Amino acid sequence: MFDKLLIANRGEIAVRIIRACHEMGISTVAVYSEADRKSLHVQMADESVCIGPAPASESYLHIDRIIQAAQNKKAQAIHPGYGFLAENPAFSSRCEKEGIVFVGPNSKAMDLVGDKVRARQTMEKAGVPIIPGMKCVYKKTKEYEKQAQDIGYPVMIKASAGGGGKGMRIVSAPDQLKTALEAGMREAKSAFGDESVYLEKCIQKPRHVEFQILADNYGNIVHLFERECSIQRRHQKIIEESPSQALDDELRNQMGEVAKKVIQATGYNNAGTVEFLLDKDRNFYFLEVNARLQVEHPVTELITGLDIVQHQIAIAAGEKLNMEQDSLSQNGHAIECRIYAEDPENNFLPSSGRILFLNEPSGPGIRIDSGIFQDCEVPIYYDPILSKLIVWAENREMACERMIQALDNTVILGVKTCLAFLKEVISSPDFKRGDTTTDFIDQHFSDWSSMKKDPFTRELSLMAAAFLSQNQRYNDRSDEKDKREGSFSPWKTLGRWRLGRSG
Amino acid sequence: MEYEFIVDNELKKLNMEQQGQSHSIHMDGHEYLADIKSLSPHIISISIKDRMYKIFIVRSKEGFHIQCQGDSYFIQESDQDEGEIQSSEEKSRKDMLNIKPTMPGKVIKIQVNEKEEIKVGQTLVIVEAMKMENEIKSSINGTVKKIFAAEGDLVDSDKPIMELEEKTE
Repeated sequence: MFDKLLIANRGEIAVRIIRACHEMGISTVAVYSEADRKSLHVQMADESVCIGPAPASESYLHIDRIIQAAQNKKAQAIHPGYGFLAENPAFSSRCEKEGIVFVGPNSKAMDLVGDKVRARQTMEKAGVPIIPGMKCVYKKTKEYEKQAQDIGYPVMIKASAGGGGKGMRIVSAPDQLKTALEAGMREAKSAFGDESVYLEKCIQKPRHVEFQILADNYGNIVHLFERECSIQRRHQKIIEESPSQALDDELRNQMGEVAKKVIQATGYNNAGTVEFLLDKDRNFYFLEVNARLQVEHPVTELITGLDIVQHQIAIAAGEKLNMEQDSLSQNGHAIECRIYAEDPENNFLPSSGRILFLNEPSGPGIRIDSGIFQDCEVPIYYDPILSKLIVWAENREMACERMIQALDNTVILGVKTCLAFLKEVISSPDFKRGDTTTDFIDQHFSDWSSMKKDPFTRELSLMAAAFLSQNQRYNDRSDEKDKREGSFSPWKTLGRWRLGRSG
Repeated sequence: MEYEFIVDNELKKLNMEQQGQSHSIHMDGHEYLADIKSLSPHIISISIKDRMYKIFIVRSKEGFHIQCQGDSYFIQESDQDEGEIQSSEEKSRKDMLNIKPTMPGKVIKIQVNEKEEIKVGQTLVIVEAMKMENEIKSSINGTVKKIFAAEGDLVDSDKPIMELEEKTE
């Protein structure tokens, strides 16, 4: 086993990995950008190294600096988390070259599954069902127009190097294709450095069902059952659960076996996820392999009782899988909500700022994977995920109720969040029925407004504000801030006295 | 004592008087007798008819950040009179004419030219922030008066990318 491991990431996932390492007796090295000096992952790691300025390209995406930090600190392995360099074959092969173990798949398999077009070709050969669509990438718009006609509208534009919804666009008519292609290519270029896109048939009202896989370096493969991640906004998952309401044991076994076949056909090792779309007639199609630890991995951990991150590290250290498919089972129901710093009143655009007050829920069956603490700054430079709230209960109905209570008990002040939105989605009758497809949010929540709040909570809030005005002019925090910024205003201390009204 | 607050763009008046251990509160034609206590610097409990509600609250220079039973509010003290509230409407009118990105980012594509006629919902400019492309659309019918930024420019959320002129009937 490793003595020391470097975590090439930040936020909640870096914290999650550090926890696993410490439990395994592995010493940890955090890397951080100048914007993250005081971050939680830096506080928790045994050692930490600043790797550059705030922009990710200068820090968390800077391969040379991360490798150098690992070498200086004599870390034997690097865990990339998700995002940043996690699925970058150049980074994993560089690790291989430098003799540092990369906690993830071998670079050849990563390269293959990362190229969505080549992965589709491989799957077709292996007899895995794929979504009808392009089998290669073209240069000219004309060729895309012809392909789109052949596939039949609506079509989906996807980035060849893709993932995470970046570069993805649905095109419902020929006259929208050109603009959508341009936008998709630009987004693909900026997100992955590769502008290639391809077209697929748009499956109507599918569910997103994915299988968690563990594969060791000796060809042993198990699946840890499914997660359903149909609740998405702008092609990004916001709520995930397991088991899926759409699967019975027969379909589950069938999909699980196909998922293992996908892993085998690509020569993949370590933890990975095989994503499928499941249509309303229960046909399933291979979507892609996510060659990394996923954001939603805790859902699987709660229903299987396994620690996926510890297994990842053990596999990377050359250990054999210590489990058989038949010994694994799903227990109860788990749901995850991603808590993002984003402004529901402003089209859910990322928000940033300082967390002025934080209360995280606790109780039976509640898990928080958090990257924040009270008084921390949420920088604008990175993915706006603050934390993940995951609940476990005996069954789905109880898990939904537990999640609603847990969301109510999550308090984050100072930065805008999607908490109220998540609560409404979980509370909605359609979600409770398990009637979840990837168009769920567009269908049921397209006109959702955070302004529609309970008039009574508004009255209570006003009472609290009045009470506070009466009892104190300022809290200590803003007092300090005022002094620091020298923006002392005599009008504030004069209270509710004002100059003559105009008119 | 009278209080005036602005919440969700509305002016709210509230009267609160101490009555022994309790507070009597009038607002919006409702009357409450509440027992209000501070449990910690940022937690206030309000008991009405023996039912307790917890309100999480932080006061900053800008106003009160509040969460109550899962609902979030931002409440500002109103030091304004009616005329000034109207000016906040004027301000939002001004915001419709001065096109600014919602957050700092990079101008990817400018879809219109100066003097060009534009319609409500028409995409004016695409700005990339946090690796997501955001289309800024027009909320008026009119013309593009002036464009201040070029494709590739880094733009701030407090400076306009372009100015529009509304069509007068």
